[in-house]
Amino acid sequence: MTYLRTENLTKIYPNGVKAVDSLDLEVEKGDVYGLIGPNGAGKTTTIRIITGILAATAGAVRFEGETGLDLRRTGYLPEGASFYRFMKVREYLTWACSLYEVGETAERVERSLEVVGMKDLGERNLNELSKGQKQRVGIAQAIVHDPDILVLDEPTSGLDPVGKKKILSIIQELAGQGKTILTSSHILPELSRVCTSVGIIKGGSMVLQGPMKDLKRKFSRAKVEVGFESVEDGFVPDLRSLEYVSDVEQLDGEELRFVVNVTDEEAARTKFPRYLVDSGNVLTYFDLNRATLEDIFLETMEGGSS
Amino acid sequence: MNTLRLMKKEFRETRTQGVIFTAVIIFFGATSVLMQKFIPQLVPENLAEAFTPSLAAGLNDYVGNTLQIGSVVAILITISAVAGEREGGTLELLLARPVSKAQVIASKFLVRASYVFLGNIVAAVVTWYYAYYLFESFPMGKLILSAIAMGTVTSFVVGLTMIFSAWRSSKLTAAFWSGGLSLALAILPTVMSPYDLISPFNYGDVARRVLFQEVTALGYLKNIAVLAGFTLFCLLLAYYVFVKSERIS
Repeated sequence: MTYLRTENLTKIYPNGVKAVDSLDLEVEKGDVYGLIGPNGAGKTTTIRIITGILAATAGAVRFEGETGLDLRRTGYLPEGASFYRFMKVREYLTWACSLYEVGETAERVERSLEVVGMKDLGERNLNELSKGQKQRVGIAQAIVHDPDILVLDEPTSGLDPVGKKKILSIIQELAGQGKTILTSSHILPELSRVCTSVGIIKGGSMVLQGPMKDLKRKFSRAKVEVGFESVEDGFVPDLRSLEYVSDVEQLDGEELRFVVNVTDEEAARTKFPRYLVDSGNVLTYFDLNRATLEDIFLETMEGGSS
Repeated sequence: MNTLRLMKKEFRETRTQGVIFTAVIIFFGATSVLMQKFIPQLVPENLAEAFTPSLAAGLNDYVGNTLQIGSVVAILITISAVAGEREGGTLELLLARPVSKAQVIASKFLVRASYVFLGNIVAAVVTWYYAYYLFESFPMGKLILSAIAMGTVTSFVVGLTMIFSAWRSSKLTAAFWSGGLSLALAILPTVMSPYDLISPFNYGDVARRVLFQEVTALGYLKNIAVLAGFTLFCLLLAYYVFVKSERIS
């Protein structure tokens, strides 16, 4: 049974805008699922429906087969989360934790503060925190009751590189603890660092989803940059004739450096280096660039569907 | 239990507003008796003869001022209930907690209603004090009953404002709608008698009548019950609006 899924989820706002269109999303237990899409694709609306903040026009959210997400077992961080300015960090977390009626509130608050590295700032007023610190409080309030599933909407939005790194490492740590995480972003390198599964959403519909390793296999292409001391005549046409090579381009101003587009990443790692060595040309440079999440995303966006 | 936890947050957030409400009620309401006593000394001598200070006139002013000023302040302390959460961006996170929208509405109303009742009771005690020292002893019980009636009327205003706070994203527009409707409900019965029955403020006159033995115990309770019914209706409407509203910020 899929841990969390949406079935034909549709949301039409009162002004007639269809933000989510028959969206099917599947998150397995223990997944770090990245919901990606351009701005306005419907990521936030989808997340708000999943967390019960908005009602769906049609379709359903199922959590362990039951209708609707169990909010007692869910931690949520909205995009650009705001907190009660009149509270202190520790006081806020204590109050938030008490709403879940899980007991041992003080211990849980201290644990969550430790995870986000804010133990020293527990007595600080929430309105005195920097954006990065607020985002860490956001994560702390989401995990304070030790939820089974975390829903994080653009968790690194608006943060500086240091803040982003900190948040991503916290997400990785939580994933390591076995939490199921559903997160959204349009900043792909970040997601590719932490996600085990992704769903690409366009115009409110899911156009591609699955485990990262399957998608990478599916989009199994690589760019290999190679350099030589010298090459024999006819080497480039020979390269082009290889079954797993789709194109060879000479680098601008570099007579002996080429970019080779390989259609199969496995071949790029195994057969291709062997071929180059066996060709007798003296290889001076070899750089393999695998298909990134960005490549998958861009190709999916351009193609429209998988 | 979560309603109590939400109330705790609400008390923490609005305690200053509660103090302001009580202070305003005391200043404009309870000091009516004090003003009544000293008006002849405050106006020019040639006008002073026209004023004959009496406790009855002071108590009449007390009820009128408390209801009018109390209603305005009740609107001001309630507009932020839901609209303030939207403006502050905290509503989204609140709705993702394991609390129902009914609990959110109930907690916000109960906290503000408690300020209203507490403020009116304190004002009643202050009024009793001024009455005793400046005029004559007046039964505290009657003042408390009057304060409860005024608290019930003002709680209706809180309930009415909850509807607009649940509906709108801006505190200002919520205040505009609530203030406008409250004014209409207060004025309508004075110009069109058939509307007497649907104006909660009309039933609120029991707060004055109970001071002067113009109402029986049963009559008093009936009026309070009708006012409570109006308030409950407002709260149900506020809940419905809140459930239907898709405004997050």
